[in-house]
Amino acid sequence: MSTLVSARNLGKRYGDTVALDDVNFQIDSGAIVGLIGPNGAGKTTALKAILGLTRYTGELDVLGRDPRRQRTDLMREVSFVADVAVLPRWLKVANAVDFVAAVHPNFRRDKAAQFLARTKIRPDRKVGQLSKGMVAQLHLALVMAIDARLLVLDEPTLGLDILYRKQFYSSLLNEYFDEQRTIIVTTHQVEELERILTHLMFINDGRIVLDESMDAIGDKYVELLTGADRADEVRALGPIHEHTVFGKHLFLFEGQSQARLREFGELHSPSIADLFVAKMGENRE
Amino acid sequence: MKTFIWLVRRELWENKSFWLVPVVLTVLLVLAYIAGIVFTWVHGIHVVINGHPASSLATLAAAHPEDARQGLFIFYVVLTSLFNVVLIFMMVRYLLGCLYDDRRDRSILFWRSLPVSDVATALSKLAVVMVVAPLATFSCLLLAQLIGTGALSAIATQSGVSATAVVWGQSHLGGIWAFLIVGFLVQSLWYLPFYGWCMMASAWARRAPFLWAAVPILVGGIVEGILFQSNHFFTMVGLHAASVVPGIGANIKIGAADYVHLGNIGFSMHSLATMLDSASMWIGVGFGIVFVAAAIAIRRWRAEDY
Repeated sequence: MSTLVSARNLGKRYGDTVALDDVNFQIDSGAIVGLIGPNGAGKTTALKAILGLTRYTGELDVLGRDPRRQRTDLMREVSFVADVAVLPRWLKVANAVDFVAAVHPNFRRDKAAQFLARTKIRPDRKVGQLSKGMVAQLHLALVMAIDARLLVLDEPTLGLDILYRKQFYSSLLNEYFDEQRTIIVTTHQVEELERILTHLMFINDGRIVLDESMDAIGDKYVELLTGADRADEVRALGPIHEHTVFGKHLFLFEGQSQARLREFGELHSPSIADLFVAKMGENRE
Repeated sequence: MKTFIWLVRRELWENKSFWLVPVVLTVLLVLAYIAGIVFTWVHGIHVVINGHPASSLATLAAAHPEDARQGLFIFYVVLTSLFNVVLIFMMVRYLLGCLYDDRRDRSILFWRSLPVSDVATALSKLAVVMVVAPLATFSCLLLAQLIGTGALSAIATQSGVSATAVVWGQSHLGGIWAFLIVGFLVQSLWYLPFYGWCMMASAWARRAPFLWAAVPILVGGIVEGILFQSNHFFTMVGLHAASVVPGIGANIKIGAADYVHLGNIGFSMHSLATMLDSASMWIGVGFGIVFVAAAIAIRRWRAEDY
């Protein structure tokens, strides 16, 4: 496993607003990293820095290149879907495929054709005539046909209905992802990502508040469900978050011995959403 | 190079007007020619041009081939100017949108996900303006000239004059076409500062690129007027804009008695050489290059907002 992206003191300011507060992280090849955070937390800024779309302070190395200076070169090996519906409305489907095939050295036309053949998208249609879901399918077909080492997805399913969303992620996993590839994805719909991620990164107010592999999260974080009678005892153990469900108390622990917690009630692995709420709350105080 | 050709093709997919508009113009002209021919058929020889009936004009032309030649040249100049004015309006409209529209609809995010540099993108747009669109206009103009000359020869024949001698023999179309190809390219160089300026406004504007292009020029001229009571800036910009390539541009002065003289009418390679030899040309080109470079630099980091 090698490091694809490494950031040291990566910072970005818009006037007085700090979008990225000198963060450090690294992303290894073969990972599917979920970058999760509230609106304005700095997710998109971090992605833009990686893609060479914004200036920044600090050091950033993406596939051995400086994204500010070598964006064009970088795009041979990095592909991204910045948002749904950014394909220009006047572009014909067939022309889109022709164009990418002509300018991208790592584009495999047969793969794009194969993927498009399974959709209802007709090659003579213009993007403006397609539904939002179809535009997303077309964009994904183009991106998946690119033999890229790093794929960046920024809210790739925003505004799509659930059928398209499911299909989007299943295509991505089954037909695109393998050990040679790395994916960074941001989304609001964290529950959809639950099973596909290998790494999780939370970002809030320009800071990284959690950066772990999913395996480590399973070991480190545990959720304990207990009755109101024992709540005070549990609280003394230092949970990072607590809330009540149907009169029962749900505590989230970080780095606490599971054997010990088991005495107090049922243990679960927390969902990303629970973890998110706990971590963001912690950060807010 | 392959990428560059596809970038140009992309511009033509997006802007069909580059060939559609001159084609429509040609079709309209052909309809006008047909109406003219039908009119002379229906009304016999009573067509009057400048107070002379067509028949007598044709007879006169047969007697004085030089005059026929000048008449034809005026016809070609008017035709060329018509196509050229349309072309220039199309160019300005295109340039103002060329680095702006894809930011407005955010498709810049798609284009930037491909390994294509901002320099190549901007230069492909410039190539469309300076070479591709003028050539498309030239092709249609050529067709309009041919069909127009055909229509004139039909009218001449109708008047009992030899079309071969009076019309085709005096048209010198080969030389005119050679001139026009070079002339359109010289014009592209001459207007480069304006093209570059529009491009810069297009790269800069968050909205209303037209205002970003127009207002600084207006303000510049007005400020100069207030501070120095002079108008050098307006004169300079205006003169450069209005100095057109002889025979291509629209500032022909029909009616001036001495104008209808072969040497003054344009289509002369010598006039192009004079333009290429002038300081205005190369100072303008220098500014143009600076503006285009600035547009590319602005473009690079404007994308941060999208």
